[in-house]
Amino acid sequence: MEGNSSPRFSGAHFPSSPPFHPRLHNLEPTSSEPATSPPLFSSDDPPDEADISNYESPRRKRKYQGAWWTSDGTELPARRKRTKLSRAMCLDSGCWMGSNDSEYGDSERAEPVDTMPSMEVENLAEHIKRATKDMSAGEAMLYQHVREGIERNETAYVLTRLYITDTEIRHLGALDQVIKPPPDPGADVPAEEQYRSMVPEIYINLSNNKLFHLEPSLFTIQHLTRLVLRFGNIHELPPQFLQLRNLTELDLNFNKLTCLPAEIIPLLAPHGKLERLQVTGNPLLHMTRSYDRLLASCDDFHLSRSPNENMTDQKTLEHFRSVALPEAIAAGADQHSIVAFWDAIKAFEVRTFNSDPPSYHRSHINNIPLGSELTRPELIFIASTSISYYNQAGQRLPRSAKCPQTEDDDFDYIVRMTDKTAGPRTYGAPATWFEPSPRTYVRSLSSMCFNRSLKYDSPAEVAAALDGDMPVQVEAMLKAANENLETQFQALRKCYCCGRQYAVVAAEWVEFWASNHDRENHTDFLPVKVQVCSWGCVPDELAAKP
Amino acid sequence: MADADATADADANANLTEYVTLVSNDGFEFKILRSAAYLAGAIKNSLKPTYGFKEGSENRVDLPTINGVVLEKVCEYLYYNQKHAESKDVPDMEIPPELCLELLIAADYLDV
Repeated sequence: MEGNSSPRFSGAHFPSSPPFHPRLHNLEPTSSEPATSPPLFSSDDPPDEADISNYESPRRKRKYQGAWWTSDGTELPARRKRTKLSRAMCLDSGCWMGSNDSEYGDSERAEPVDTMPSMEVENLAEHIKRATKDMSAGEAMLYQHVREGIERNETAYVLTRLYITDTEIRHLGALDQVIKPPPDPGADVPAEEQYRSMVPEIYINLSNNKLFHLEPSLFTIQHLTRLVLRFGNIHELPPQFLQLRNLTELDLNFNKLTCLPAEIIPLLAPHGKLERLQVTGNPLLHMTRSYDRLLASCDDFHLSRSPNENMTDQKTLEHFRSVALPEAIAAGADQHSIVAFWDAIKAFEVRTFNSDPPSYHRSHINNIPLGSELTRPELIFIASTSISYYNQAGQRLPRSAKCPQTEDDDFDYIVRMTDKTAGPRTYGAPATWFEPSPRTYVRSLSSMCFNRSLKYDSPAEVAAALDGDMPVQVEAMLKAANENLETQFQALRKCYCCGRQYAVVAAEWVEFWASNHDRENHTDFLPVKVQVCSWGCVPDELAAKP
Repeated sequence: MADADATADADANANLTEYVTLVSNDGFEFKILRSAAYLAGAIKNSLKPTYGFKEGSENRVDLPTINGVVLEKVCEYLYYNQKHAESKDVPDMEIPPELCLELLIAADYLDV
């Protein structure tokens, strides 16, 4: 490296780098003096030599000359006694230097906390070599990329095919230090366009790795804007994704996702910045029943083949919406036909439909004023499944609906639309409906105690404390807590609707949101799973029989 | 509900007091509203007059596995639950961390 060249020219060799690289320069030790501290203050002296000069009044400052390590502790004689002191200077200043008995521990001062120990005095290559000694090949490669990238303020990290696992990507959290260096103006006065933000736009590609649950440190990279996780084994996105507020592109193609967490809604444009979300090749929940049955059930269903041509008059559309769509859904249309329906209806109905999201999402998202036309990309709440209720041990109540787990599962698909003029309309409601009674918001005492104890102890510690007389229900709760620990990196979840912390899910349902974040001019239905902490947290509009 | 059940309840109603007594293993007695006590499944069952337990006739439940401190907290919860049954956005009840596990066992036993 050209560590010793002058700072200005080093910038010329690395156009994307800042003009000055203090971290590339090996800092010379400032002095060869020993760092042992000579007695400095009277109060540092051994007690038998304690002098009382400190306590004399008026106090007089001791005078030392030169740096503290060169002094041998002897006091220079006061050169000149001021004859005329102002009244204020005679008073004690109130400043007081901490002694050994002060509240600051000596050890703290002796070793200042350093986030990157000895990085500055050690060659980077050597540091990497030493740190990666015990790592697997993939992890070592990743570590090297990250460390070198931080030095150069690199914003793109392609880490594909390294066969790294979840815990091995923990080093990525360090990328939070990267800044976007200002362009080097050279010898000239910087032009106006050279004044810009130093906030970087970080791109990370982790395709083709062995990732199952990701890793919390990934979500601490505040300025992560593009994240590619293709060809992984991700079954579930952790709710910590909510922290990635600056994400604009997320590529999750070819993973094992069946649902997205509800926390993704506030991130997606137009509520958030995430404009492109790719989920092709995932076993996402959707209507799987056959398209043929749909065609057979609707005689005048020529619309689905070329919807746009026929979508001209309002009468056809009226029929389409009130007869054909419910029939199609009742007959079990597959996703594509419903999308065809919906695309056709939408063009007309966006003006009449209230596309505000349901109320319980509003605490998470900014209200955006909707004009006469929807902005692209769009995100519209379409439908939800029936609600699955669980008891405090996490067992599903016998009469409540089963929450779909795979795309082959059968489930209710309740389309809820709010017509601004005609009021709410619902299609596809099931014949039987279950609502537990009373649907209380207050949690049971045992779950309250359990959640409380997990705030202080890990599930393992709670299990150890209860060893011997563990009630069956508590055992089930502990199991849920351990699952949370694995998939969400913490034993307690945060309720989407009320924000309280909890261990065992009390109710869950899947919502379908129409979105065109994947491909332009194509609407996909994103399945989004919402989980809440008490039966009372289920919003009334979904809990009531449609 | 069956009519037989209702008449049996009515017969026993004469014996029903507004308050019931919960007794801890160290001798503390807590007199609480019957309606609040019924929120705990185990207490409700033992007090049910139709079941003919001694507790039902005496309106008094001995809880030999629960000590006074914990039982006080249980009573607090029963009233808290009764008060907030209809409301939303209620803060969780304050539980001292050192009581958590004991209370957890007691809550599981009482089915609250």
